[in-house]
Amino acid sequence: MVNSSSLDATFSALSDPSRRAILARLARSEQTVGELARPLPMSLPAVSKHIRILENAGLVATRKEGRSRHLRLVPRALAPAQDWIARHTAFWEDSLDALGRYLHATRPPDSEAFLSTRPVKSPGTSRDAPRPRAARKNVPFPSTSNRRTKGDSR
Amino acid sequence: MTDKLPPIHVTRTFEAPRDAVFRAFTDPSAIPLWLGGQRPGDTTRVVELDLQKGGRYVFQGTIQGKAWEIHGTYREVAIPEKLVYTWMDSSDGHPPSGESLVTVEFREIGGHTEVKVTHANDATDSARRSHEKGWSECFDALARVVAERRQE
Repeated sequence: MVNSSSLDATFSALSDPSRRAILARLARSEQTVGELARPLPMSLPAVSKHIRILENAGLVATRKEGRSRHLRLVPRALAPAQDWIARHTAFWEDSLDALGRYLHATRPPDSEAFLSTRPVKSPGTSRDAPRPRAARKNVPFPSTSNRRTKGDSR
Repeated sequence: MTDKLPPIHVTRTFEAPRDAVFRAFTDPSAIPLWLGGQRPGDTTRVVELDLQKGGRYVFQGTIQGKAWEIHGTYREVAIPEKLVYTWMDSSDGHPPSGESLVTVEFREIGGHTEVKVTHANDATDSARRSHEKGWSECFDALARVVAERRQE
């Protein structure tokens, strides 16, 4: 379902401040195109163009009711972007934590070059060193689990 | 097209001089000891690493039994201060998400070293411009909605 091009479409659609403003308002409630356009400092055709891009990215769905088009947010479509942020943040946090353990474990015994006076707690490589956050899920990059960002309860 | 997603920032301070931190960050024999998964059974392998502007790197590994690869090209190599490189990743179950850009800055602070990693989703320079605050507020709002709606 999620492929590279849909991810790109999501990122591109999210890249514009006006479109983010539209999404933020739709996040609060469903709106008609007219309601949406009223407070925005742009023409109706310009708003329609943004809406089309959001629709193509799957971020917004429309339904017709009489003569008006009602727009609503499709939150599911944001998941790939959230997933990218979550996975890459976890990757760097885990890797830099491991780098810290590696540096600690490999510092020279004659530590004149190292200003810290903290003793090395356990000899050996960083692989043997305990992880500082034991409760943490093992989700370095690339995530193999369905890791979700905070607040996402699915 | 303007900026894409806001870049990720991760910062750590290490109790080691900058030269040592930079070396650990770029030494092919050290990289497998910290980059990627570090649980028993996880592996990280440096397949290629040409630390110079325009040079390529390829890292491969497994995590929880699943294979992954990261590769890219160094755009800036300022020993021992800064690295800028492109980043393409792929792994079992995760299709590639396009080229992104990693900037690593090494700052010496009182004999310690602060490492700041900036990972921009888009490898073009425009991705690094700063609509960031407005973006993250918007994204937070959206994330809340996503969470609420999923509970429904």
